[in-house]
Amino acid sequence: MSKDAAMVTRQPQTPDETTSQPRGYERALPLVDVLENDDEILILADMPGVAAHGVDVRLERSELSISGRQAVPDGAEPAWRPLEFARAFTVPDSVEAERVSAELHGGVLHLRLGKGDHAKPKRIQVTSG
Amino acid sequence: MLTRINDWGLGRWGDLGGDLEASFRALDGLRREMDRWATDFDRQFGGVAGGRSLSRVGPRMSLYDAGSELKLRVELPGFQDDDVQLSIDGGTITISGERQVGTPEGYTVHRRERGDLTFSRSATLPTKVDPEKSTALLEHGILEVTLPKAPEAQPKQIAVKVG
Repeated sequence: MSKDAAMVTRQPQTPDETTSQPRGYERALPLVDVLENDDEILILADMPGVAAHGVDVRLERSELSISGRQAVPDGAEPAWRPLEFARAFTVPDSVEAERVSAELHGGVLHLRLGKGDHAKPKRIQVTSG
Repeated sequence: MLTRINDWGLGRWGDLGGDLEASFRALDGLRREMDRWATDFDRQFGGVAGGRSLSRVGPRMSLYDAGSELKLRVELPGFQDDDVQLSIDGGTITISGERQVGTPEGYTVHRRERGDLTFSRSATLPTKVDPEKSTALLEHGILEVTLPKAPEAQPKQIAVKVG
């Protein structure tokens, strides 16, 4: 994700906005897995038919939103409506935009949210008074 | 330390599975299969009511007539070439596949909706096709199968003579 994308100010969406979605795309919820280790949170989202240029990832404060539009193939059946996958998550404040990266592999979005140093487990030195 | 992730997704856009029937309109005899899938997936995914793509009724699939050939498109995110089998027997095409979703070492799973998947379904082809010349390509999680029509099923152009 580029830094610019992360800086975009965006009001939280309301359900009413679904009526203003681009014509032709049908909104769909991607199925996701959410995993975590000491260094990162890994979100995997099924987005079949979505290429890299169709993906949008935004982080505004603690709201992370992902969306992906299916490419429309040449000569596609008219009745086959392309999907726009969209989903939003609340993430910890410790997730930093510059530590977010996104890749697509075979129609699955791999989103990595690196933890800042302050989010990693810390050892606190105990001193006796 | 594990971080808690709250999910706003469910319910925001509502249940979007409504027009699945339209997607399958071109296919015959799938109704029972769809019902069976719905049961399996409800059991597997429980509360994921709004999920689309592979959820509830299996992969979204479209079969249509593109003139000199038939085209079949199936949404298969996360499937590799080796995970998918395709066969044509007489007037029926059967597609099946299996996806294993492992957990990378050292990761804790907070949410698992995608899961392992196994599916198999058949469709009646509306015309005769040439299986030898048929091709299949898996790209961006979409399997596109091109089935050239048999010579006797090719559209014929009829010249109009001015009388």
